[in-house]
Amino acid sequence: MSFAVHSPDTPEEGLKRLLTSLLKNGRVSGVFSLAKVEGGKLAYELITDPGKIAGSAPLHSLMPVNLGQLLNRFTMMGPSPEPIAVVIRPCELRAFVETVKRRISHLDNLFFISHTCGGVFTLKSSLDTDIERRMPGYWKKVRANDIHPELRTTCQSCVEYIPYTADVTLRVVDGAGSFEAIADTERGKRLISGLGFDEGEGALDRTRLDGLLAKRTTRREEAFAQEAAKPGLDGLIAQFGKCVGCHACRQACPICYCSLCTFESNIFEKRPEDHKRELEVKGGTRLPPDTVFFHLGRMMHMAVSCVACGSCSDVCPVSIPVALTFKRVGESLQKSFDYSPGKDVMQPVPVGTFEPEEFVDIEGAKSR
Amino acid sequence: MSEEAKEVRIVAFLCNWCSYAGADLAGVSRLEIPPTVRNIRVMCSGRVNPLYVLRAFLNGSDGVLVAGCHPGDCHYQRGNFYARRRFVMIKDIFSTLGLGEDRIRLSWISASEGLKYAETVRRFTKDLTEEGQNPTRKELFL
Repeated sequence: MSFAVHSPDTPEEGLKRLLTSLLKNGRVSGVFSLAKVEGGKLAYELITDPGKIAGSAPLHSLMPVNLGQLLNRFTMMGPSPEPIAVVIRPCELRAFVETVKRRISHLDNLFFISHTCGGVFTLKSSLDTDIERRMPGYWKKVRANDIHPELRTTCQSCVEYIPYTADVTLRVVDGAGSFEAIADTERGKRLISGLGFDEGEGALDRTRLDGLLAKRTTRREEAFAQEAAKPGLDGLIAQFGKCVGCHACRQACPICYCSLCTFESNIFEKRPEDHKRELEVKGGTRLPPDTVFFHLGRMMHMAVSCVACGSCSDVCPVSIPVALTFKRVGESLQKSFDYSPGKDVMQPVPVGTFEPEEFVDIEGAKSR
Repeated sequence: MSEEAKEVRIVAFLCNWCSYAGADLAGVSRLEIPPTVRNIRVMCSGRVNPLYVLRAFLNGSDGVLVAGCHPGDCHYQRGNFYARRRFVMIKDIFSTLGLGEDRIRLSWISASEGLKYAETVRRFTKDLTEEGQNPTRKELFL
């Protein structure tokens, strides 16, 4: 049991009250949260005026961009100079922690308010119809610990929906429908205590969370079963052959951190003699070039840190299920290196560290 | 050596301080080395970008060899430790996707191991002859 505050409001109303009093009491100078912009669209916003919290939608089930990526941009050149409360989903937080490990983001002065996550809708489903009409159905499914069929595939099959490194965790998926915030850290406790909420002890409802885990695990296996277990070269061509080379998946990826991407440079661009050779040996050449190369190359750069947020699939204009492939490859890599992305900020990224005695059987002819 | 074996193409990334000297030793010792290997000298196995391995593979090499100093013997203290982790990663991705992880190989070959270099190339050539031509060689959509 940990320190907790609660109120009879709905989780979102309670959270808004909490955020408003955080700003009013000067505990934080700003709040990062989803907010409604003109025209009913949603965007992340840094709110500094307590009066504007009413127009925010902190628990809305849409992820316009992975917030981890936005926070990376926000803190890239240095830590936040003022304390900021960030309402963030577990996978967004894990992605941000991965960028912090790569020393391109700063954790300082950020207070993370996360929650047990019910998943988000695809961006496409928010474009064709009014997403607000889906929200009551979404909350009904969340309360029943059920999976809404219009969520991102990665959300439907996500098993890491409990935040790892948050300061405060809201009980959403496992809650009783009222507002309850649990302090996970000392600074989290200092943040939320003495603000006029009922104070006490609280803990996550593991039984309900495990029930959801079982459902999501089944969905995960179903999703993986739809693809070939080992696609091979032919399978990869079938999947990535329709890639138009827009690199939107890289742009949307919260882990893809290089300020200048290799694949935007001309490092691997083919020279005239390469084209000539290709025409001679293969009898043709394909444009845009290097689609499989791009996806496999990106995989080598970031799959070990993939948090399976699903942003890449969401932005693909030709609906390639990029996220599922990356999730599967990522899970395998993470298992090989006994690594859990975003779980612990002190655990180094596997390819940036080593043990002198390890993987001794990787050498030579014997396959692993 | 069979005609098929001569058709095999291996791209080898050799560390300047050990494996490249090992290959040199194999040459001056007049050991038989199959004509299948294209050696590329790099300053350290840790300098081998995984994208180079991938590029060589997708450009139609039947096999890609990365060779460096034995663990603990790196000229730059720890480059080969990083190389080893990266290689584990490449191999894992190849294996998960079914791309033929046996077509990529890591070897530790010191400057005095000319024999090991020759043996590694012979063995790799033999294994790749059994594997057959890499399908990437004739494939356009890569």
